[in-house]
Amino acid sequence: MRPWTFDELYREHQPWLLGWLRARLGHGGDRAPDLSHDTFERLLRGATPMQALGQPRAYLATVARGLLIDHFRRQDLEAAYLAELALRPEAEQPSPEARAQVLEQLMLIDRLLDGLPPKVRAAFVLAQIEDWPHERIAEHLGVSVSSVKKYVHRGLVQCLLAL
Amino acid sequence: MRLQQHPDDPALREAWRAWLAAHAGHGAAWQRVERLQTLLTQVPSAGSAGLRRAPVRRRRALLGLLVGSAAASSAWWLWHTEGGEPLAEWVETAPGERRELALAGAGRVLLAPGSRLGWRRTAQGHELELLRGQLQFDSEQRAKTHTLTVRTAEAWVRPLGTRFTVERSPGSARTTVAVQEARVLAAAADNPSGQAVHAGQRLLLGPGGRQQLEQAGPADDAWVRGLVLALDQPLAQLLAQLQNHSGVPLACDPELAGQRVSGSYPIAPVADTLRLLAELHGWQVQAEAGGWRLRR
Repeated sequence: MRPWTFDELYREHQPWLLGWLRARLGHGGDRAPDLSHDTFERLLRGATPMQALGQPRAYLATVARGLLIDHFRRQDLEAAYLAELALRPEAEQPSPEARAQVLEQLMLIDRLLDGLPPKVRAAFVLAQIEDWPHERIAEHLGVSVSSVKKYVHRGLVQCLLAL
Repeated sequence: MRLQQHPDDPALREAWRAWLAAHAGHGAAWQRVERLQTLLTQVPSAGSAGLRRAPVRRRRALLGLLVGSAAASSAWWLWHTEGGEPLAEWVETAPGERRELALAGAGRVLLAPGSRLGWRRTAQGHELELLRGQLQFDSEQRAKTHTLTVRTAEAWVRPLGTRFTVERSPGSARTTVAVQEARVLAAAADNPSGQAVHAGQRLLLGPGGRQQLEQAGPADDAWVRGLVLALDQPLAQLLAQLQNHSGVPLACDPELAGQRVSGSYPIAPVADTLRLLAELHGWQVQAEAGGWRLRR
């Protein structure tokens, strides 16, 4: 197999990757250069030796796909957060730095909760972040109170193991 | 933790007591509890609306780096003599049986039940080949640990410090290297340049040179401390692990097999662990064929 250098890989595949990302980003296409940069940075930092990349585009797409998922998820979390803030009075609005910090925390918790079924996840977030009483959560989700307790326990165990 | 506000649920309380008792000796576990508590109390409720809804597609499912069924074909992992090098000695552990091996000048190896390990002395030091199962390596003081190499079909590992585990499962052709202390150098089997894997990290290596670096957790070396950590696993899988580590036959009725369980479960005495599981879920424990069975 012919060995690649990083420069060759970049020259050969970066324009393609940019187009690939733009197609998937739609309106947010201006983020494509950043994500492309992050993808190649992963390649540089990563353990897979570049000589071993039989299918460079497949590999780049795999890495980029993961970054895209994170990117979209971050957007969702941010949009929901900002929408909530907009309902609050002007005086209570946090600074951009504070908002950025909250977003990082949300991304972290999101990562910890990854994989939990929808009701377990919802129960955990409602109990631990929004402080709803178990009875209210049970009614909201249409489950028993003892199920809510089990869901919260499960969420806690997963977070602790994943931290 | 907020959970303490609801002490009236005995099953929940018991599960937490078991978890905390198992981890009380480790400062790291308490740090996690505090970290999680801080994180959850600091996040404003305004942020939770987005969190409540799960992401459309799961990261883990899409990364798919480790799916593979082709057996590794690299020839070096078939032991052979080269101009007088000694053949490997093989050690195999049965379910419930652990073995400890002392590697002079390097450290000690703890071999988990259900493992098969080859060992030989070379001019440079020691070489270990893990065909299946798990081992934990602990270096001795002032040891020249760079003289030790652990190989599996997918990977090689060289310690640069003190404590790590290697697990190899032939069924999924996958090797997992988790570092508990200091760091190791590890890479895919046919890649001569290794990357550093630090304490708290874990490297998963699959066929075709695929690999993934992620955060390690207490589950990796839980077996050394006499525990099996389950994270949303089917009951049948947890019982299989407990059976392997304890050597006691364990079974469950078919309708329970897929039930998801989480928590930290002591390997011994396994009867107590089964009783805990039964209490948590409202099941029965029955003695059967020298072991135990869980049923509704």
